Amino acid sequence: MKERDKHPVDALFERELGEYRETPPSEVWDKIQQQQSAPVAGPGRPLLRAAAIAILLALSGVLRWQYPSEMSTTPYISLLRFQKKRRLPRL
Amino acid sequence: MGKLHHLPTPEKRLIKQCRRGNKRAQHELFQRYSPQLMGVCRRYLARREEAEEVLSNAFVKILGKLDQFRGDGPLAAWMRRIAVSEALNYLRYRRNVFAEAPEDAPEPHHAPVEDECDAGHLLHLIHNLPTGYRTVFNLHAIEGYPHAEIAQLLGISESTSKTQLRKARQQLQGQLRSQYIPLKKEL
Repeated sequence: MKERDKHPVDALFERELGEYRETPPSEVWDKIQQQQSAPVAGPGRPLLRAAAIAILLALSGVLRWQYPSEMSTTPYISLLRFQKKRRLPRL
Repeated sequence: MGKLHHLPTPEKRLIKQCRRGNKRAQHELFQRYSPQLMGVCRRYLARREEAEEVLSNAFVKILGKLDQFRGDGPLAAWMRRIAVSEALNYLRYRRNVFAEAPEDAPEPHHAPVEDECDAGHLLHLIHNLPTGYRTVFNLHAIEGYPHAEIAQLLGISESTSKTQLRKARQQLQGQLRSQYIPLKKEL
């Protein structure tokens, strides 16, 4: 919008405050440095954790579906039995 | 990472050093641009401590996003956009900002007529506005955002944005008139 089209109140405030500057106190820079050095929980970590849990759940679902009789309510024992039967390497 | 072709060499060098994490360069960047960014924050936030908090958050973001700066436009304008966005986020999460009803305004300030039109005084008049009016007025009158974009940014309708701008102008106009500040046209 051209200056002449502007509402006079808008024009006055834009002219006077558009490039308004104020020097901040030095503590602001100190705070920025503190914020930069603070350990930040990366967004990838919770995602990775969630993905790992999802994979484990999916895997257990597939195993349960594939070998329903071999999977008992005690997962570790049933896994040992399963390994014995299938001759898989021991964990 | 942005190519920075269009920037003057000293600025390009400073940005590259900041991107590499050089603390001295980052401090230089802060010293060079913080007065302008503080000016932006002060227009949106009436309390100085809040403006300082927003400035520090904005600058941390600026340093973190410097890799994304492509150098298509001036660095100052890019930083200013981040400061505005940070101020809006602050207002959105810390206060019930964009409601229609005006909040309690601070005590009106009556400046002597001789120093009536300086920036400090006008800033005080802006601070007297309810936060919603002030935010829309800043975005439209000073930053030049259209109402459609303001509506999107603040999560309000375009008509609310227009209404808040009109009310902000009326209030400012009233304060200016009461202090005999002449404007170019008859208001």
